[in-house]
Amino acid sequence: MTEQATYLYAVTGTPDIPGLPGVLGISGAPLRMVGAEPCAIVSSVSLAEFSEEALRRNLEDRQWLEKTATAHHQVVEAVNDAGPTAPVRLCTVYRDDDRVGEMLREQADAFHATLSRLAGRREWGVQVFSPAQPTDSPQATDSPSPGLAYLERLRAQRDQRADRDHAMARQAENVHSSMADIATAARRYPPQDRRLTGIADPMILNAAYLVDISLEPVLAEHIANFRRAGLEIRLTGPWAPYSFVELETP
Amino acid sequence: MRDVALVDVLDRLLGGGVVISGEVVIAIADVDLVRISLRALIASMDTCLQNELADA
Repeated sequence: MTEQATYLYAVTGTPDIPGLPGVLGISGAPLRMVGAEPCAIVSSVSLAEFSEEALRRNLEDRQWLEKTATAHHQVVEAVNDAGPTAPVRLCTVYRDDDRVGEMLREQADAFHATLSRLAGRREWGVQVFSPAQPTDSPQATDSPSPGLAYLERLRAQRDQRADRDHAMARQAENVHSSMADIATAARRYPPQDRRLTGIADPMILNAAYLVDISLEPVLAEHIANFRRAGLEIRLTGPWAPYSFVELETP
Repeated sequence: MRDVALVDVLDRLLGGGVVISGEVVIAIADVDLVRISLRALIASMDTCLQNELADA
């Protein structure tokens, strides 16, 4: 039998999670709970698969990454459906359940503070894309020399691009600030690579907002208004509050 | 999984989530997960695109 370790998915306020029996962990392993309030959701993984060396290799393997991230995310969703939950970062592995229990006792106050801040709120993802750039058509200039005309054209194109970039950046900031206004907390991620979004237009805002459930209609209205104004916006969620669980150190 | 894009999940699983230091065997602090994984994803997307082009 290979050496086992304990993989930690999430920490939540209560062990009463109705959806959990229907979900399996990484590699189809059954889930367990450690502790009571707060309570950690864990499963056993092979230590060989999650050693630092193995992890470096595995994270380069798209199939491994997809399978592991999907399993982790499914567990988090099931736990989060039952109440405020703090998802743990991918690939957090402990020697055994006892070490997880110790950590829970040490961090209990921080988890309680974080979990109570999450009650009644959900995370939404907002992504803004820059509209297709019109192709620059060379402008006729009255320059006396072709060389000079060429340089002027280059400069004009560069200025146009800079203007568009500025306008886009302003729009992204505009969306971000109106979302942040209604959100309890906001967090920005780096815009995703075009090859990953499958959308030809570049992403100019990739952000997450923690929003009171009572304010979700306002969020939807803002998004609708921005779309009516011609912006290409993707709204994702609700997510488990992945982006808003930094533990406050007491 | 509900209909979500892997890349959106990875933003959160690799850039968000509780980071716990202490008695862990392995954690984000030990490996630059985001950089490695996104590089892998992009590389695999490129391969897919090339395969599609080759098939076309």
